[in-house]
Amino acid sequence: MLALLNFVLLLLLILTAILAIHVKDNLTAVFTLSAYSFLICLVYAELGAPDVAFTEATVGAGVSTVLFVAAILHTTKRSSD
Amino acid sequence: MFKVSRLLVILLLLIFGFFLVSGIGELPLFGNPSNPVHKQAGNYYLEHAEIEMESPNVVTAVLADYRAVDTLLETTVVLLAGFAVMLVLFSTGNISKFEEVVNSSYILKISTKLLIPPVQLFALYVLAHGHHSPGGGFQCGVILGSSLILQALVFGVKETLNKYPPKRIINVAIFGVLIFYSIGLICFIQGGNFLDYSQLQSILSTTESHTRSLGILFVEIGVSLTVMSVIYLMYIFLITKGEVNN
Repeated sequence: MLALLNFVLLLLLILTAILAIHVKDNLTAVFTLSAYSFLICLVYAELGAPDVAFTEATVGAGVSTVLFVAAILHTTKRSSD
Repeated sequence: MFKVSRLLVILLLLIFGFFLVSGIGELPLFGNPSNPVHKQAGNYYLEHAEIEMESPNVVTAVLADYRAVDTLLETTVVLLAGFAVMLVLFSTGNISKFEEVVNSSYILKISTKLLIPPVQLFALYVLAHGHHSPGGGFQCGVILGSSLILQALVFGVKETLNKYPPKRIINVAIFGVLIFYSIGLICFIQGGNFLDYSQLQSILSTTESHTRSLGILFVEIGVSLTVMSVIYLMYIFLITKGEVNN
C-alpha cells in the first residue's frame, strides 16, 4: 500500500515537473511548481522526515509561490480587457 | 547543424543517465541500520539528545545545539539575502505614488481578521513546541511572515506599511541575528566554547539539560524574528518595486 502511494506520488512529481517547464503562461508554471512542492512535501513526510516536510510546505508551497506571483505582477504587461 | 548538436546532447544525457541508473543498484538500502551514515556521529545524537537537552525531537537538538554554528551562519545568510533583495530593488520613489486598488470585500476582510490571530498563535506553538514535535524557529518565522503578507494582500500594502514600517522591521531582522550571536558570545565569556549553552547554567540556575533546552529556545526565537522580517520585507519590496519611503 505504501509502495503504491510512493509510486503515485513520484509519478505525479515527474508530471508536475515536466508541466512546470512546458507551460506557456508564467502564472500557471508557478502554480504547477507549487503543486510540485506540495507533492514533494508529502514524499518527505512519507519517508519519515516531518521537519523537512514542514519546511517544504511552508516555504516551497506557501511563501515562494506568493513571492513568484508578486514578481510576475511586474514582469508581464497586463492587457486592458 | 542544430539537429546534430541536439542529437549529441540527447546521446550524452543517455550515457550519463545509464551510469546514474546503474549506480542506483549499488546504493545502500533506505533505513538500513548498517548504512555508512549511521556509523558516524548520528548514533551519539540519537542516544544523547533526549538526556542532554530534554528534546525528544532529535532534529531540533542537532540543528540548534550540536550543529549550532551551522544554523548561526544560515541565519546570517538569510539576513544577507534579504539585504541583497532590498539593495537590488530599492528606489528613492515615494510610497504615495504607488497605485493600489484594494477592493477586498467585507467578508474577506472580516475572515482575514478572524484568521490572522490563530495563524500567529500556531506559529508561536510551532516555535515553543519545537523540542517535541516537528517545527522550530525557521518554520515559525515563515508562518509569522506569511501572516503579515496576508494582511498586505487583503488590506493593501499602504495600510500594512503604516503598521509595520520597513525601517523598524529591518531592525527586527538584525535584532534576531544579534540574539543568536550574543548568546554564543555569553557562553564564550562564561568560559566555554562558542554556543555551548550549558555555560548559561550560572545565569539561569536550573539543571544542565534544562539550560541547554532553554538555550535552544532562545536561539530559535532569534531565528524566527529574522526569518519573519526578511520574508515580509522581500514581499513588500517586490510588490512596491522598492518605493517604500513615506
